[in-house]
Amino acid sequence: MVRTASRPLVALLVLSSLLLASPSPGRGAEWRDVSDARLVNAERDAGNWLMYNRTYAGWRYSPLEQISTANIKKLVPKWIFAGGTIGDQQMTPVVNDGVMFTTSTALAFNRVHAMNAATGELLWKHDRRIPDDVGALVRLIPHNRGVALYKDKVIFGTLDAHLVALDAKTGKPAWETKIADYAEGYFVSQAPLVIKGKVVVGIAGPGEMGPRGFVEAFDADSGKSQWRWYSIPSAGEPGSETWAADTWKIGGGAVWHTGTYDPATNLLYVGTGNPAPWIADMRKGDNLYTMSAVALDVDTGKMKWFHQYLANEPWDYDTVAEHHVIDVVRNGQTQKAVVTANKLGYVYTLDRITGRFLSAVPFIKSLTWGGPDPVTGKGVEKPGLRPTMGGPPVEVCPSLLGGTGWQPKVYNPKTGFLYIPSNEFCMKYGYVPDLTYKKGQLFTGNTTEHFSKTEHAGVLRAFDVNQNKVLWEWNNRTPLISHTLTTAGDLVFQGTAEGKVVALNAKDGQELWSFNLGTPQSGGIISYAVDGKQYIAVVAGGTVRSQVWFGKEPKWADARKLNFSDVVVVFGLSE
Amino acid sequence: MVAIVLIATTSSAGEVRRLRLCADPSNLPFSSRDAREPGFEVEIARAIAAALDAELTVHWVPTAREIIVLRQLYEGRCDLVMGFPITPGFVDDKPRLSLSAPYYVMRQVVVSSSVGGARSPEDLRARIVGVQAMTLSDQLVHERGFNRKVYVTPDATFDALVKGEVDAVVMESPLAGWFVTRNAGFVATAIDPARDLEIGAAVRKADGELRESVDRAIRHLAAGTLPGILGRYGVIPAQASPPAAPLSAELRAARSTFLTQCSQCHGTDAKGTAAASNLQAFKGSEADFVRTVQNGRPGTGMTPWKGLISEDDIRAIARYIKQLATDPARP
Repeated sequence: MVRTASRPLVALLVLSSLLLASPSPGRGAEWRDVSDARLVNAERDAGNWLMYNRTYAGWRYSPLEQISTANIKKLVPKWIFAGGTIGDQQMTPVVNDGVMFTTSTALAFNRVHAMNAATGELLWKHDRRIPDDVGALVRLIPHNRGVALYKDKVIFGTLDAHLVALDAKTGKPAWETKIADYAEGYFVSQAPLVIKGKVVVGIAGPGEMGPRGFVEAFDADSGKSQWRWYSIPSAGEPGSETWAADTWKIGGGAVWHTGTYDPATNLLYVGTGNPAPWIADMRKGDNLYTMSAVALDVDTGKMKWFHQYLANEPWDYDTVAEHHVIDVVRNGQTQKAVVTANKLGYVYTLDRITGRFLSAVPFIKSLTWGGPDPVTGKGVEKPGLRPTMGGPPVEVCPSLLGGTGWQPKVYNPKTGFLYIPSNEFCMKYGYVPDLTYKKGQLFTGNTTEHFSKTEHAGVLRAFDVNQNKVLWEWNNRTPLISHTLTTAGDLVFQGTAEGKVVALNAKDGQELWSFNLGTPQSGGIISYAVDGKQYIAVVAGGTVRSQVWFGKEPKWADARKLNFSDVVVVFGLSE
Repeated sequence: MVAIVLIATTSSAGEVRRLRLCADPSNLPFSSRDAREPGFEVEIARAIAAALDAELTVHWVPTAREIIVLRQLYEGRCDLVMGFPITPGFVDDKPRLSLSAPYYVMRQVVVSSSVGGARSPEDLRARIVGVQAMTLSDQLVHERGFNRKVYVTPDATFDALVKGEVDAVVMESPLAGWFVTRNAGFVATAIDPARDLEIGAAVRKADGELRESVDRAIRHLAAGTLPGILGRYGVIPAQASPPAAPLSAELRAARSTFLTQCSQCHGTDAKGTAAASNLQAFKGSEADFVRTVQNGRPGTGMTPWKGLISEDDIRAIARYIKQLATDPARP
């Protein structure tokens, strides 16, 4: 009797567990390890967001389509989580089977949260205290862009240049490794990327603080260093001839943005930052391998190829933006490429196997510094736009925040568009009369004022990677120092410094929905599913430095008046 | 004595102490009728007149042809003409002319990109060098056998440099300096000192006493006023601060720290931005200033600087800002 009565119940349970792509942890589901295979196949794991850019290809495209252009008007907030910091919130959450991991960062601590991704219920949090003698840049922009997942660990980098692994289920520390000496100005802002059991981390700080930039790989189980690749060769190594005298020792070249990876080439693609100091005359030469796309063998850390975008760079136009792994079709030919839109204001396409330059197309109009040579892709400057030390400021476009900044660009394979949160602005840019290197202090030497000649400084642009041109634009008053997401529901989500998040039709840019977050949108926007329901998570809280960036331009006053409060706001369809 | 001289040179017999200058109305950086930017020769003539307690008036006349402007001088329509080379060859065939002591040295200068550009004659060897036709610079480049491209005017020559038609330009220092002060990204380097020319002002030979007075004025002005004017026009390398009253070493170091570590938010003038407060208006004591810089202001962008900038250095920054507030012309 009992047995027959229970049968339909068992059948129902089996049926519903098939429907649930991702069981929620609140109902006793087991933690599912994030294996190498799961990371490689992250694209097909529709309900999850397992790494910073969701996939190794760096697309930030969610294949979920429950929320679509047809029902977007029914998108409503489901829960809100406050991280407890003010100032800098640039983090992208990750989600594994109903558990979301976020970070909140202040000068005093790196904080990690685990929460129920369906309800926002806090499962655990971990505070790592930061010493009070970190370098100047960390003090000005204490931020963290997120965690990596591997097996049962949550792995993140810290403001004092350590790599830390926690138990994903409890938040208890598992291992910890010192990456570099924070007193030199080194720190970690990027979310690490785990590839084939290695945690790959690029270092932040060098571009403003001086020491040599690098990328390092650590064993994901033990935290032991596997290899380190410096973005600046030391004396005697190939490329060292592009640095005058000892300037390479304090030449910058940070690698502060999470890279991309192609399992087929086994290459990690990273962009390197600007050289230091920003006064180009103080480090004569081409300054390899700053301002470059670099392909590294993930097993050994050896450089397979590089392409330098701009030699002896003078304006802080880092080229760290992610290199999207995309097979583009040009003139009927499929080309295995990496595509990147960066501060220089151009969409560059490179052959991802050889590094050969294929094309560069401008995506902004406020662009005066010059442009790439059409054959070699190497930057050719318009003369007269470099300031002199102590001389009058020079007007140059874009501003040093770039045609597009660190905010990830997103690629939707259904439309073939790369969505670029871009900026139409310029700067008055000067060099201080004298500058000497002091460990731990800023080593930039610039004076900068940002301004815009156009009514709308922020422009989201849909760039067709096959036709190699911009197909539509969506305008915003202030620069887009905010995030973007695209989904299979034919949607693009875009945040703004005015505290809005909007949803647009991915095909034509028509605005379909908008929500006021009450604080600048500044962190990641992701999509995931729990119990068969799709969610959109929007991270906000602003970047306190935007007060400086937006300081003197009256057109951007709206973005200046908001408060900075670190929140995750999660949306779902109303029932 | 000065008064006597000036009476002798004025048409109104001592009633007005006046020095009349002949100058080109449109020949910057040398002279211009535009009072906002009168040119360095007009400014120097005005300084000479002021040193002699006289009023300067200007008779505007095109100077492209030397004989026309000298005729103005000989015929008494002016008393002074600036800008003649003090060489035997120039003076010897002009019996009615007398030249003052030099007020600057005109040099041959290479102008090229501030990065990777040419700094010496050797650097010019494998490059294309622009020059203005029929000038001393043209002669220099021709004699040295450099790869030379000739233009009609200084403007056209520098245009060619900006457009990248030529790698470098050789030009006389006033024109080179004028260009460099207006176009960032280029530097001027003097070459070939054997071709330096001392430049003086011309007076009628009969006005011997005026010439002596002008010489005295030039010597008097040489310490501060002349370098100031010449620096502003780029004729000689500009001074970061007036040589008469330079910042102390302590305040120079404080300026460097302030500009590098603080000016991003507080502005190069320390007057603040929408993001950060006006430090010139800081109301507290020096001790308050030190405390705020060390501890920051929680909840704002003002981060604590304790351990990065020493207390002594913070005090020096406070004094530098105070100095800025009282003497903004000396940043």
